[in-house]
Amino acid sequence: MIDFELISSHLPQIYLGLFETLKVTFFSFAIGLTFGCLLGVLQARGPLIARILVSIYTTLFRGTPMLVQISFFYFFLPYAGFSLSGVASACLAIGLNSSAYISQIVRSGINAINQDELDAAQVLGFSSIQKTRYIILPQAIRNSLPALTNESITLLKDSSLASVIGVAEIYKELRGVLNQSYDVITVFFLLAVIYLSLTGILTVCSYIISRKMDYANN
Amino acid sequence: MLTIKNLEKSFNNRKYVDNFNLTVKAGEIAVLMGPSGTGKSTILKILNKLETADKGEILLSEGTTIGLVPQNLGLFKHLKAKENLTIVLTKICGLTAKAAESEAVQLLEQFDLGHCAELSVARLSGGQRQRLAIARALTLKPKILCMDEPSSALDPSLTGKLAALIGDLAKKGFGFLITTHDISFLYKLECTLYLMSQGKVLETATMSEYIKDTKRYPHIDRFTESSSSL
Repeated sequence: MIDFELISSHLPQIYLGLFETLKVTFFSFAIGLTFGCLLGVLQARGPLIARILVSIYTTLFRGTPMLVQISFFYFFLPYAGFSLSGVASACLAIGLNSSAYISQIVRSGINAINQDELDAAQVLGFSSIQKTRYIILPQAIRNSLPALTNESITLLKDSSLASVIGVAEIYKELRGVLNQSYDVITVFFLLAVIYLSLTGILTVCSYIISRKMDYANN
Repeated sequence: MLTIKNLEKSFNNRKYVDNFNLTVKAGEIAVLMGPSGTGKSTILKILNKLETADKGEILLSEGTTIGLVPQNLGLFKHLKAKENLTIVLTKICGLTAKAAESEAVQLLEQFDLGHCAELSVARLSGGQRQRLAIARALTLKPKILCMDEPSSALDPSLTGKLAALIGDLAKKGFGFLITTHDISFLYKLECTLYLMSQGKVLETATMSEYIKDTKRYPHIDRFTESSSSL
């Protein structure tokens, strides 16, 4: 059954893989969040041309497989004069893909804010900057946080796709262990446990955040 | 004192406010009544700078400012009841956090909301929300308070309390400009009724004049009957 000796003998490799997985997840999410917020604000409040461009962007990234996007960034960009490492290509591809989804989360978070509140703020004398700072942003962030933590869970799992361009994240490391040991059960059991633990932590975070953010119950 | 002269506003070539004139003095309660789409809310929006008028003048005597309680109240629902007041007192009125806190507590007490200070807006009842919205509008110390359809979300027992509150504030010198399509909750108040039709005042009467002889005011009478039978 589960060969714990096999696991313990490959611990350094597992740690390295885990570290790479977390690294790819973290940087992808950072890219996704930054671009996603920008695109989301543009689509919710920007001029028509910006909204059209954001729509094209999201259609493009949501309509093609992430595997294709990762490969494209890694194999095609060198022809365009940009040579990126595997990790950088993966972070960029996964991050930009994620930004397409995050933009829609942020957009709906902004759109969910009641126009009456904005009108009331204006009548009370709030400037545009004050409205954004004190009314729109706090609510948009609250509205988006649960969905954003879900997005981070998806992104963590998607980071395994970086293995196709040789990034030594946890899936690739454990595939290496499998190739040496042929112990399918132990390797895939371990993989499932690792991903489940990581997503479990994020799920708990998501739950705590959404409880805290639910102002209807505070 | 607020004086509105020859106010006009059109949307898509339709006049929603047409040669509209009105005066609201200190302590006076002016009620704009009429069916939807007769320009009542548009007038309040223009007065509160949410819309611009095509024509006309809005004259305010010195030191007079206008406040608004919107139809859906527009309470900041990510904030607690007290914070809805303190954010205005600190960011707009420029008070220190401490001064804002004590002013907010005072206002909340005045509107029987002292026990709700730390509750989020979602936790408040309809009547409490209404009173909080009025309290928030009063943070800026307006002399004239506009209220857009204040009774629309309240049940009959609460509209009575709202009318009493409006009456009390009017006695303290606040002027009111209230839009409504249901005047029944205002029966006990001394107010001036303006029946609107297509952006104009069609008929006007004080509440006591109207109640004394309803048949003298056929338009108001017909409207009141049709709206109470709904």
